[in-house]
Amino acid sequence: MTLDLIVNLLFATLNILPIYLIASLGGYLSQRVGVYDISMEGNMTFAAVLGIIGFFVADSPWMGLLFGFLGGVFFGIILATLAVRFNLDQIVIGFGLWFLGLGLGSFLYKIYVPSDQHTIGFSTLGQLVGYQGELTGFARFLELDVIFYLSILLLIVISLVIYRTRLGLQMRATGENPAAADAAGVNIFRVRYLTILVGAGLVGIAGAYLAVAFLQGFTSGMVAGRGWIAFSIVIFGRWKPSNIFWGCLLFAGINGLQVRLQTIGVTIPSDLLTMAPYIVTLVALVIIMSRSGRSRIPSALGTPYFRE
Amino acid sequence: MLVTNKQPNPNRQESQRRATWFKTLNISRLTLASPLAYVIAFLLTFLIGGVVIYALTGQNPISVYSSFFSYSFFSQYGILEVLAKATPIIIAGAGMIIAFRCGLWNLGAEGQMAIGAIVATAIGVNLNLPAGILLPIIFLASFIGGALWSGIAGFLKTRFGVHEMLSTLMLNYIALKLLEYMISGPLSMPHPNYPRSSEILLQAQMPFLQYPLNVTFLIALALIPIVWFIINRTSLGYRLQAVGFGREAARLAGMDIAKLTMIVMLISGGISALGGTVEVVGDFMRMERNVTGGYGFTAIVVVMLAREEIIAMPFAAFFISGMLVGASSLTLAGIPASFSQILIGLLLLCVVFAGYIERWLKQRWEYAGKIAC
Amino acid sequence: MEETSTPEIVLEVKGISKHFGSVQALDCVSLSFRKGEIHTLLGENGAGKTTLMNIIYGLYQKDAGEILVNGKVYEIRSPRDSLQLGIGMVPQFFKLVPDLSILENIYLFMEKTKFIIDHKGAKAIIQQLSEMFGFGLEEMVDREVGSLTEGEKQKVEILKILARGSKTLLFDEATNVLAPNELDSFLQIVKDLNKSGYSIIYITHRLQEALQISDRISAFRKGKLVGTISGKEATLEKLTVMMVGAELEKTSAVMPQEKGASILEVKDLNVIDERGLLALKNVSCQFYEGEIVGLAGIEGNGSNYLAEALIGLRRVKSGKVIYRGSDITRSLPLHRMKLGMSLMPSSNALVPLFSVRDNSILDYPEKPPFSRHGLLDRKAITAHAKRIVTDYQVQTPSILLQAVKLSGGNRQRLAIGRKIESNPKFMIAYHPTKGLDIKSQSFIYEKLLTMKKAGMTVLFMGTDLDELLLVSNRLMVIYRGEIVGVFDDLRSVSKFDIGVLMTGGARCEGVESVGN
Repeated sequence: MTLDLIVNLLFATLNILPIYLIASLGGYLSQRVGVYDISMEGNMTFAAVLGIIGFFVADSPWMGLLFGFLGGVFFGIILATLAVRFNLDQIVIGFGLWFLGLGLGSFLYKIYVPSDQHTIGFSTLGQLVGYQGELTGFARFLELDVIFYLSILLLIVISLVIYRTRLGLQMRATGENPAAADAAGVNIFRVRYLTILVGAGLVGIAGAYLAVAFLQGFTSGMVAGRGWIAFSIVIFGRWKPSNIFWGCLLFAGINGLQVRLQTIGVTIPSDLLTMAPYIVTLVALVIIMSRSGRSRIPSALGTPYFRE
Repeated sequence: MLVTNKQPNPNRQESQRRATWFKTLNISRLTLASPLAYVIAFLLTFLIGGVVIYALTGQNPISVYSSFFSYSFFSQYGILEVLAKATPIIIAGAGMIIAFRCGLWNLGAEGQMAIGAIVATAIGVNLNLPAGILLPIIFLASFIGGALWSGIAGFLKTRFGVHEMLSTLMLNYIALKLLEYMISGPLSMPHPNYPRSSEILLQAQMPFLQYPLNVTFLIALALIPIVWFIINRTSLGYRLQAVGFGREAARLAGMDIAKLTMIVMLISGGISALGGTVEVVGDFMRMERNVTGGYGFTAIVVVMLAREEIIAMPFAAFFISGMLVGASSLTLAGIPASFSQILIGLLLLCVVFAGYIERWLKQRWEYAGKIAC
Repeated sequence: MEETSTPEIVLEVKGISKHFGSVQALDCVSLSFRKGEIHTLLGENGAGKTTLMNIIYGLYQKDAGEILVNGKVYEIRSPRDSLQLGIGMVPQFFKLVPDLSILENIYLFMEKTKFIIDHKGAKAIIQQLSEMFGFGLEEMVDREVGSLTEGEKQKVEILKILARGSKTLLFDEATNVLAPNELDSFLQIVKDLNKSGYSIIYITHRLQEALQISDRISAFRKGKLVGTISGKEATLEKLTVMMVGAELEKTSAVMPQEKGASILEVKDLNVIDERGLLALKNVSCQFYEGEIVGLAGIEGNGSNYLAEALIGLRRVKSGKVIYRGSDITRSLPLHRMKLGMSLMPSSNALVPLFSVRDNSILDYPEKPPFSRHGLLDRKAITAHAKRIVTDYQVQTPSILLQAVKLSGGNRQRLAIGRKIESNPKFMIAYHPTKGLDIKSQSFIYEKLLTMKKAGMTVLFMGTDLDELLLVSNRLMVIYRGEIVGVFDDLRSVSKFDIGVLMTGGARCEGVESVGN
């Protein structure tokens, strides 16, 4: 009985995980090279609608993700151009993009998306391999969709690139000490520019996935601070992919708990329960700040690089 | 944590120079750089906005803009609505500017407004006292509630070093959830159609100057000279600006930066909370889900547009409010009201970019003309 | 000393000049460096030696002159150019990425590397180099650089340029960051590198080091090359004369004076720096009313920590600070200022975006008549600002001008005016004349001397001995966080004696000391 509950909770958690994981990894990439992407919330909202539009273009969730990705890249271009090319204030740019994203999102939705249309998510692993049996125990991993597995793959690929390749070395050096990277012959501007594009594109994918596969439709305010939480996960994940994974699992778990508790009829007011992720974020920030100073921050984060 | 310490705004040099040239009447081309950059930013915003309209809806941008502005700025009801919508924005912005001036990113106005609204409703529904006593109690209690709420962020910053930008943002969402809980739980009206509180007592409802403009608008206006006075004419304002503009110099002059941070967060949050209070006592007369209406977030943009100048802030607020109102008039023409958010976002981006244009113009002109300052 | 064959010149500079603003940092310097020698550039801070290195390495662009590498003229526009020519620098402030491991930092710097990090290959190269020169880093190539000691970081910097294939190595003030026990092994490494064929250009302001390792020594003073002598000919005296420009006679004209009442006493003060190392070690000293005490110390030896600890901006690990009989070791800066202490910094004395007027009360915005009950009195502040501007000859078109637009001299005049107007009893002046023109400098001396006559005590921290001997009644010397000498009667002291102490030449026990 309790075991059943735990298993249910686990799979509710894993269902939500890709949203946080993909968004956080996207934000992580930008911050890794020294640029704050504050616009994640707006980016996700914009990409969510593009995702739904994309879905109806080809009747395929994959097209939705592609649209979301392109929307994210569009935001990335604006951010990178203003923040890297013109060295302007990353925070103010982020807020501008946040509003732009919220506005563009609901604007496009009202114009292009027919009301009460529902999208269909991705096929599960079980469907893909043609598994017909009962989904209990470990077999329930087959009910998770493809994107879940791809997001785990993404985590691994990004970790490998960051820690095992010259490119990753250059990215880390750019975020930590651009002067040192420059002295070693790294093209700071190109590294930052391209990384931000990819990062913002991933944030866009997360937004599209949220709309197309998880909520299967658009409601206003649907991102509901998930962009900001992903942003915080990067920060208290201390800029390490493995920590970011655990952070995402934590927040997905809280979300999953909400869903689960409601279905089994525990009567905690749902509004109070929905506060939990934000309170957990605050508490996590406090614990991390009081445990150790500022050791892991990419040192050049938030500062434009002017060559001497 | 986040390493962005708020940088002193380099453009502030310009406003102070303006004060000087006005006296000496030594007008140079350089002084035009800033207004010119702003004009470029505005033009660029509406240009891109027009392209968006044309590309996405196929409508003629010029006719859209003309109905947009003629409603919000050239019709009587429209103007009143603009001023009414600007009221909470101005109040939230006034609180925010105090923190920004001290180099603190207090982005928590939305949450502080929610706390102000909750406190105002709780008292306004239950405390049956004459208006002359009840209203001051409501405002004072809201102020204290908001102050304590943002004081959490101040405490986390001074005690643990948690960056106030993240903590205030998280507190926003927590406060909004608390508000939703209140209207569906403890403060809910009996048998509501949708979650909302009972109406506040009649004597707690502030009168309308002319509908939809409430007396609370005058409170917002009165706040401007008060905040200006705090910033420019008190030793507290002096010290908080010293920290904001020259942290190291302030430290070497022996100022207690942690204590000042705490005080500033308290005052800033207290004032911003009143933005929620006036929505309850001067507009909704009760509490609903959208009582804060995102004005706390809009106020961030307003403050950034005004470059943290308290005197310029109300004008930026009127302008942004005009966009919100104007866009709502466009829904009839088939253009979603969220067009205003697009314009606001674009405006912010273009104004940031204008900062670059301004720097560039000044460099060129200073170099070419060698104008002494 | 003279080799039989003409030595091969690897690097030569001819007529190099460089200015920053109105300061001539380098004035027509010509110098040649031989293959396989250790050539030391000696000089005080700001003498121009580091500027010359940065020009050779491509960090700065020269105003005039040319650089020859192996006899050919090259334009060196960036470090990439100099690295291409086989010149590598170990910078004073490391350019390392703290989050990356030793191997990664070096791999980043190497050329023609594989996309997937070739951990094995790089490790082999690093271990080989490390072993060859006794760096002792073989077993820790995967440690994060941020967790290393300063000495180890320096070795990583050296490995970086060795792995890149540089043959001429520049060391810029390399021993500044080292703990005393790391010093000898470091010098040995430099010598070993030299023996295996590397040409070395070694920049320092420490005479002992120059004497220990140099084949030749070139001394700089105020942007000019004073001369080059061989390491064998060099003696402490000769080098001190070249570096400080002092003759060996007595220099101070200030008569010793009767000591007034004690005002401040420092007992066994220990202060820890950001890295957790002791920045001040058992500092004890005493100050009396109506005197100016000079504190001679080259930057990086702890005088800034002493200044901040005395005014309360830095926490004290142990020891006591006693002001007029009361223990203020733990009291806040504001409290100390109320008691009459004051800190005059070399920079950051003003809020750059505040007007001259607003800056005129930065230390005491709460004090009447400038504010009452928390409200500012603009009239009183304006009158105060105008008085400072007139009395202290601050040249500004208006008191509403932003402080950032004042020249350096006017800024310091405004700052010192503000400090003196609060009528302090004990002023800590930390390099108060740094970077100022002569007129402003003498103005500040004059003001301090006037205040001294009125009974104020000044602790004057500085590097320039001419200046210190001009104003001080007494003088202390600080070296590596310790007071290494106290002179009560400056008529019998020469600049040479002080210079030797400042540069770590010798610990001067009991030279008329009163400190312990």
